[in-house]
Amino acid sequence: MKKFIALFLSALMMLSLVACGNNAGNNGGGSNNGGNGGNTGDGGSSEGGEYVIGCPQPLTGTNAQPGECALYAVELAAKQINEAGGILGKQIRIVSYDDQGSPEEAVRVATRMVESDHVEAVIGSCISSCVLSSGEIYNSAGIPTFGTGTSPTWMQQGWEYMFRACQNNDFALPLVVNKLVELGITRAAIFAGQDDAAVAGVETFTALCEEAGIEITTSESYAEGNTDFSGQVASIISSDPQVVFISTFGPTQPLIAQQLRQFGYNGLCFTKDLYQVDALQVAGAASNGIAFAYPYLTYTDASECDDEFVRAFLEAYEAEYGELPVSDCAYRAYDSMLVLKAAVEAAGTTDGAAVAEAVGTLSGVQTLAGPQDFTQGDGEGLHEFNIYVISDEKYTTMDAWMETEDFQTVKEASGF
Amino acid sequence: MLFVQVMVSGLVLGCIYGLIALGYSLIYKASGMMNFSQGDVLTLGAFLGYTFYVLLDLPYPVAIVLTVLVAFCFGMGLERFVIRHLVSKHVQAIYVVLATIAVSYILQNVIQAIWSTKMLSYPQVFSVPAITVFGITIQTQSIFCILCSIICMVLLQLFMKHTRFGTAMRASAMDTKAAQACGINTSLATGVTWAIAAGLASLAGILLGPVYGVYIMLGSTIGRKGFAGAIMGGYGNFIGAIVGGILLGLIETLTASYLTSTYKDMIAYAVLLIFLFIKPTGLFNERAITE
Repeated sequence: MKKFIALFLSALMMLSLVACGNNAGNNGGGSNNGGNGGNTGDGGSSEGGEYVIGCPQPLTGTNAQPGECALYAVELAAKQINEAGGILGKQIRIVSYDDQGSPEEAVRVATRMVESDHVEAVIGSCISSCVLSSGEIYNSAGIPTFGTGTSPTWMQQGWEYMFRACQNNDFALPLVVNKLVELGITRAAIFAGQDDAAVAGVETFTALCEEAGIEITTSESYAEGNTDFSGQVASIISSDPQVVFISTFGPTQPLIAQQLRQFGYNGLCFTKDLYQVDALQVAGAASNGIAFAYPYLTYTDASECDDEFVRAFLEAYEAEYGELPVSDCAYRAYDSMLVLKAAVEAAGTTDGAAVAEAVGTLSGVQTLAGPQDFTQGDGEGLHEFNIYVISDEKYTTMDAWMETEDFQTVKEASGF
Repeated sequence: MLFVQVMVSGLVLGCIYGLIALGYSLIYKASGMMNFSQGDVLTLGAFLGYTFYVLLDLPYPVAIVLTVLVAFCFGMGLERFVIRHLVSKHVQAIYVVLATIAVSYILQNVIQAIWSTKMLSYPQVFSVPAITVFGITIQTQSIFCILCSIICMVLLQLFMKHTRFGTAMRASAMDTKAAQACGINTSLATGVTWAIAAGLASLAGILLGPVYGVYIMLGSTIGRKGFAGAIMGGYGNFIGAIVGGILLGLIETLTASYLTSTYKDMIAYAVLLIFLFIKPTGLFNERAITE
């Protein structure tokens, strides 16, 4: 009898979980093509052979969501390219591993990809510290690599096989600080995480503010996994800033927005990254008045997107995985694939050295972020972005927003 | 004003730590073991609550009851199929602790597989989202969190000390064979202990969901902090669990507000170490020294 009851309770528990899973079905987003086994994606060999691309991403832990989106986008791009005949007649095969967002794990994964899987190109992690720790391995092996993190640090290492086809925060932040100067802001507070990209963002922002004569009233940080920032928010508000620079990533964005507003700060905020659409949903009206300089936006419906090229990507992604990408890492990874394809075609070969050389000659490559230009010699494809702001819980451009009454309200609350 | 608001935030955070700490204390008091999957059961509770309240559109109180029930069953299953299996093999206590750590990671991945990695949001639960008293704005959900934590502590204390089943649970923990000789169903008592602990963690999850949103790592740090709170209060003491949790929450928020935000965790855990060195019995003098 006791066994029966225990069995019944366990069955009930499992049924509940399964039922919940079905009800949350739309959130499933397809299978998780990661894991430690080194799963392979689309393709397989064809007459022209195959082109093996590695894609290490954080597929578990805090950064699983952006990592999963990035991997899905890479697999989607591979599928589309393969269906169109592949690259130089070769079918793309994706090899993916979970780097767990950990620099140590990223090194293990990189070694395995180079030594065992013999990858020929890599679309790197969306976590900058992982790109930084593993970059030397790919570079020494002569493997063209496109990191998808936004920190400037790993592109400052001088690795000749390392490129970036998404934004470098060092390029975005001057736009932000220029805008602050234009608005007449003289006092800024900082709230930041402790990861590489967040810290690098703070360093750059602080240096730019010093140059521009903007006083940093306080700089607060938090440890990963924390959810309550009331102490930091109290410090920020006490320092009486006119703007708050938020250098964070992922789930922290809506939490800090909510807590800043709850404590009575209704002024302007700038985030170092895109303020994602899921953060907007969680924080709701608390998101209003948050701005960012970024090449991408995320959407709740593909039809909201005006750009035809981006909309086509969103529709294809939704058709493949049953939902739109919630993280812009999908855009970053997809763009990296587009640039890699262009480079291989320009080189006329999949040889690593030739492909790396060809990347430097690319300009006008059409991507989700707009045309990319690698001819400046810095390995970066994007150098300028728009500034967006959230108003009435929707994205709008900063210039358009500055003409509205909402801007006047935020300006008054900020005190500039 | 800002100071009071910081104190209220610390209190809310502390109450959540307290709920988790209650689970740790309960399991320790009733079975002499530790369960390090409490934080992830909190995450499970937040996702279950989201499913019942948002996806199935059930009223919030119903969603709370169903969430706690499912978590209760989970706790029962965990004890029956993992913990009891290990205990029956007479393994050392550390193996049980390791098993709960393993369960914690498994749970994280199962949650990811079922609900995906997306961050989900609850709509506003209360029609009045915040109350302003003397210029201090407090979220209604935060007040609800504090009330629920205190009610849970009182009920648990009454249950353990003034009911036959509570006494049976304590007797099972003290001496299983003697309890069996007295006719106590020790298996059921231990199972219910783990089930209640899981129920408490899931309650914390559904209470936190509307405040912080729901994502797979929601409970991982909170779980660790809850453990620290339980030690500060006196491991195994229910009032101590809540008080220890609140103390930790206040230390954290006040440190971040007036000393340093970067090293607030270091200071909070340093206080924990001081407790371990100077007063291992915690604030409420729970027995901690092996005789």
